Amino acid sequence: MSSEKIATKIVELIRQHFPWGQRDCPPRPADDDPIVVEKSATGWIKNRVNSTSLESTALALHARIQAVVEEMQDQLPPNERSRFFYRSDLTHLMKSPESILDKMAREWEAGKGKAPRVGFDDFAESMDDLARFRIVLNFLADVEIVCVKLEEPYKVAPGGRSRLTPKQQALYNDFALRDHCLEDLIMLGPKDRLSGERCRKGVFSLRKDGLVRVEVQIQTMLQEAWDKKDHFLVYEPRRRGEDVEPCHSIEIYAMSELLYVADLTFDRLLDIIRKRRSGGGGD
Amino acid sequence: MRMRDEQLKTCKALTWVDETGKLKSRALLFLVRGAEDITPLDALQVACRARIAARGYSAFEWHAVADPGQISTVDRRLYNAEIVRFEACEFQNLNGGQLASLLDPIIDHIAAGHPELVPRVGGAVGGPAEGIQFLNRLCEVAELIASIRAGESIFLQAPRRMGKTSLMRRVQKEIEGEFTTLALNLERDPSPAECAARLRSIQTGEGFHTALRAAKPDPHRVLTDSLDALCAHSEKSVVLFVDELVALFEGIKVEDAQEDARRSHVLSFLSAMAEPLDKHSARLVVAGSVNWQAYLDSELEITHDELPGLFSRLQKLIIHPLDLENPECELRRLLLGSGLVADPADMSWLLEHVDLALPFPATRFLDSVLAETKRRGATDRSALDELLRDFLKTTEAFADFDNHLRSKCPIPGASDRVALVLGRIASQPFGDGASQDEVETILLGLEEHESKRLKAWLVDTFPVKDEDDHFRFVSRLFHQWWQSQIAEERRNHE
Repeated sequence: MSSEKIATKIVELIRQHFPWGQRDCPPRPADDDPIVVEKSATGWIKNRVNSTSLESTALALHARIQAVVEEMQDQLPPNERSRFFYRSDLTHLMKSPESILDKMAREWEAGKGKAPRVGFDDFAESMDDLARFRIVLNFLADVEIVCVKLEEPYKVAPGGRSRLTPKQQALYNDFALRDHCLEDLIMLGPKDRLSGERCRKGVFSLRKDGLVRVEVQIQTMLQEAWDKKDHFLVYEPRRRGEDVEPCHSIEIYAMSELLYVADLTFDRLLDIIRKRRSGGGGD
Repeated sequence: MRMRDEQLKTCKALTWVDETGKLKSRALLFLVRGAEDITPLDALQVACRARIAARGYSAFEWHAVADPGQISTVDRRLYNAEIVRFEACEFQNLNGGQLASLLDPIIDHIAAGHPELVPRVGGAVGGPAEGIQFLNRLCEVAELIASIRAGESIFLQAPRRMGKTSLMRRVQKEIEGEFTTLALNLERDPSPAECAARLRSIQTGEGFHTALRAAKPDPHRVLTDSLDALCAHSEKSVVLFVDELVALFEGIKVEDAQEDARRSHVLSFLSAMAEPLDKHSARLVVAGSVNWQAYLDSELEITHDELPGLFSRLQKLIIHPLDLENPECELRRLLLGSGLVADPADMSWLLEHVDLALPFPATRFLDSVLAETKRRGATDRSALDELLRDFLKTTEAFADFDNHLRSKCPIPGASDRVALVLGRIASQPFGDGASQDEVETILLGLEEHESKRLKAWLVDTFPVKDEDDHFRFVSRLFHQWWQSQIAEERRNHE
């Protein structure tokens, strides 16, 4: 769908399906200006999101995951600690109202008289990524071991929970993990791959209120670097209504593959160097 | 009770950046550990936002922060921000009103660029409480300022450690600009020569010891001249604050062995001070743990009619123990400032045993809790019980009350009866107290005026209030201390 079309579709979605004047929604603006229409909806969405405990829940989840990752870091051999580092990105913890509208509009079959699949009444319950954050790691192998540590409490049989560390147990006690695993968008075959996005992705929900969910992405620095560039070069221009050349999209997608190969190479080198060190040869 | 875990990293940060760049940026971090923090984190943000909106503050922003060490990544202007950490759970189980009581002053202090945000245990131990350490005597502050504005001179009376000096300093600070304020601490300068030298030093700018040499030959003249010059050269009315006047009388007692000489010396000193103050319509605020007029009457037979000028017109203002509107909030503010984290069970123990009606002993006790918690890592209820027992056994924080009872009872020979009244109140659960009838029974045999005076002295001198036909202690710590004194006495008898 072209960018211009999505911008028009968003305004049309709001005009037709925003519950004007109902409950706590503002009344329909008199002049029907697209900017005013969109502003009314984004303002309401922002208030709606702020009225939930989503952000605080996301921070609580981050604190629990951070504790598990740091515990892991402390358990590494001293010479590995400095190369194992992680960074959390909480700057976009909450999905913006504009992104929420964008997603709603993309999934809406306009012109067929149908309500959107995700509507204004249920977007908070339907969207998994209203709150999300990333844990960015150095090597691909680090992503793997962090994911193993985070999945372990959910995969282990109840009798084996005593093996869990207190930090893992605390994560498990506070949050459930959908499907007991982090979805793998790294080892995805060509046929199944829809975009260049590469990460491990999990949806955690608060145990005392399963409707409050937070998406967590775990990826390497190179995967994050690709994502940030893609966001600026492709995602944002499309959101603003600008066209993105198909050849640019193809090239950017290819860059994701290239960086994956780079990650594999770095991991291979890391493995060789580790083995040499453990064999006493040094490097 | 445990110490705040400042190693926690994930937090919601309320930041404040001074657009003018004159004041240091601030970041208030609400640290998060897990799901138990969600509700308090939401609630405290609502409270902070309400205050910020109500006051129209514009420089505050909220940020989700993964690592406080990298706070400048959320806003580069925070690179050298002063960071204050709290755990979100320190605000758990509080309603909107309680959160507002705790957080509103913090927001206001940040917006005003004040360096300190919350009082801390030990912050005022050993000295007068100033700034943030000054615990809520707003009524007395307002009353004293109103009296000064009305041209009155005041005598502030309360036992030691009740907060007289702190109150005087607060008032002095608040009226600066409107009045010219001068302060004398006669415990530090307990002779007429030193007192005169202090004023001369302020007036001329010369060093204290130089001024002392000049004052020694004729202290009263130097006192009068210096005070006269200070008042004459001030564009605003002068308010002279004198702390512990009786210390000077005691100083004179050491200098002059003969009672007649002392009597004349004291009266000359008071005249030397009163004359310039009267001449320039200045105000005088005298504070003391001992009623100086009663002292002069009993020690030197100087009657009220003999007192010169302003000293005969001082209005008495009694400073009672702090009767805090929200004692739990004040206690929590102290814990916040000290980094002590109390879970609900700890908090109920504290509210059952401690209050800030008498700030000095309360902060001393909490200081010992802080030290023990730092040492052990955590203190449970049995450790708190033990700490309290030790504190009550060894503290000298209440010694002045004992001293007053033994030597300053206004009715000769009646101190035993007052002790019985205090014992009767202490034998009842805190809050129940002793009825008027019970007190009357103990005071039976005294003249009516004596009984009345004794009851008034009891309320003015001890942390006792006379309300609803009952005498009750206002300080839980004092209640327990008195109980422990009785128990100790009983053991000694046995």
